[in-house]
Amino acid sequence: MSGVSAPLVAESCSKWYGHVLGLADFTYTLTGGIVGLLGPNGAGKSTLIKLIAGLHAPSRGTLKVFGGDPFRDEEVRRRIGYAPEHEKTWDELTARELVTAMAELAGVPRANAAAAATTALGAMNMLDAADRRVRGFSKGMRQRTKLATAIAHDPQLVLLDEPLTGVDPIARVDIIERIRALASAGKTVIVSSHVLYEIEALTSEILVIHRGQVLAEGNVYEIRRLIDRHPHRIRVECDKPRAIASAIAGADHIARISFEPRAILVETRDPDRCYDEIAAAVLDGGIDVTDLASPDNNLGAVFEYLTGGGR
Amino acid sequence: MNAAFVLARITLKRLVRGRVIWIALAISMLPILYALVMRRHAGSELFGFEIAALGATCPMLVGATLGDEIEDRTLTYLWSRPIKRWAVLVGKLLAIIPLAAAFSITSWLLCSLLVGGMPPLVTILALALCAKTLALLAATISTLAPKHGLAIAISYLLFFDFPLGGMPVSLRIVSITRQVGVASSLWNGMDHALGGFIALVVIATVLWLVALWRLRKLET
Repeated sequence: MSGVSAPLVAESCSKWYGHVLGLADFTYTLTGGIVGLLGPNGAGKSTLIKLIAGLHAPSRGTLKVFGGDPFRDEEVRRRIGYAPEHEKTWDELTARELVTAMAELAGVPRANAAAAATTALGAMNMLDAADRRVRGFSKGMRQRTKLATAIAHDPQLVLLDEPLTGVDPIARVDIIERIRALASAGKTVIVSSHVLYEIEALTSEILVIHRGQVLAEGNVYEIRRLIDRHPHRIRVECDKPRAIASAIAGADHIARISFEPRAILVETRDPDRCYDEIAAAVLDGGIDVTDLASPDNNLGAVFEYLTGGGR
Repeated sequence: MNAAFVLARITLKRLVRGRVIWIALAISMLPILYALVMRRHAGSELFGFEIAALGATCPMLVGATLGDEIEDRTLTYLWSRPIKRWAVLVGKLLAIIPLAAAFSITSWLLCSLLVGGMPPLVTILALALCAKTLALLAATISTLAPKHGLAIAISYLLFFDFPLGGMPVSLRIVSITRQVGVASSLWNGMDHALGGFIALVVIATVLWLVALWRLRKLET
């Protein structure tokens, strides 16, 4: 196995679960940095990450990590750090015990494992809670602990499956910063999410996966442009919906405005501008907003649109 | 092998901090109640109660450590580490088997003292091998049906293994509970004890191979 092999080289890699397709004909070469896997739930992101982590073997094709087979080669897995999507872990242990055990299992000598765990927990801002049992942790703390288990043995490739799920906004910003710091430290990071702005905050290099297939790969801005072409709906629940309507109705990006009891539904072709204009209208008009959401903040709908299903 | 020891240490720590171990301990001590009541009137059925208690505690301990791990998908943490899959099974069993055996042997020693004296060494060895074989049985079933591993293992022992052991058919050679009784020398005399031990080793080996085969194929 060469020490300079690319972190990931996949050629026509497919994975089936019985008759269900998990990943289809995936061909890709990853050279470094942070790569975002973007796709709705069930798209195949976790399957791809599990294939890279060595949890699954491809049904067809090849997938090499640092030139080796992660499913069969333990030396390859030693260079990988993996944080799974699910929340469950060994809840009876403290964060320090959990991360230390994972470091030992990843090959860190026992004498060094505790120090490695402390470093990893420190990198995830978890030292204050390191000696508390995982059972009592919030979702954000669990995610940080999972990330610490993934990096404690100083892997070169870090796989993070939905690391921001269920995390509050403040913790989200912090975790994003810490993931970016991993890449700055020279690690290759593959991170999955079904939320575009989470990926955008992490990297500009993305793979868009839908129904087991790579729909698009490359720069996030190109994908963003495609997605923004899709009419985007914004629903504002407030005490003066008509005041918002009159403030934004003349804008060229507004496709349609409709009203609901104590709410306004806006359809726009430029969501960023529209959010700004709604915010300005709310501030200028002293409007009391109780809820602001987008029914389209679900990539499934956008992907249906991009693949023609929504046309 | 280092990974197996790390896993054994962690498994033990998790068990000690959980509830299952205390329930298992309580079940293991139930035969003492019988011995207290029966005193010198108790016979070889007391040993049968020890086997029955192990038939409950081994699946419970395995279910709490291996079955739940498969079901909760926490096994993904282990599969992604640079360790052999057999090491995961060995690590779990290294924690469970001595624990279950210690509970059972302690209970048997106390029972024996209550009813009249120290038990023969061969009975203690039989219980230790019983703990090993039943833990392997439960582990194998957990790898095949993690969601209902505990229920299936106990049902298997209750409705198949125990009744089969009591039937006058050649198939009873595969009954774990019967072979433990034979190995203990309490049911068939000392002449057949070695045969019981050999049968248990063979059954345990077959179970081990099935569990390993299943673990190799298992995808989480």
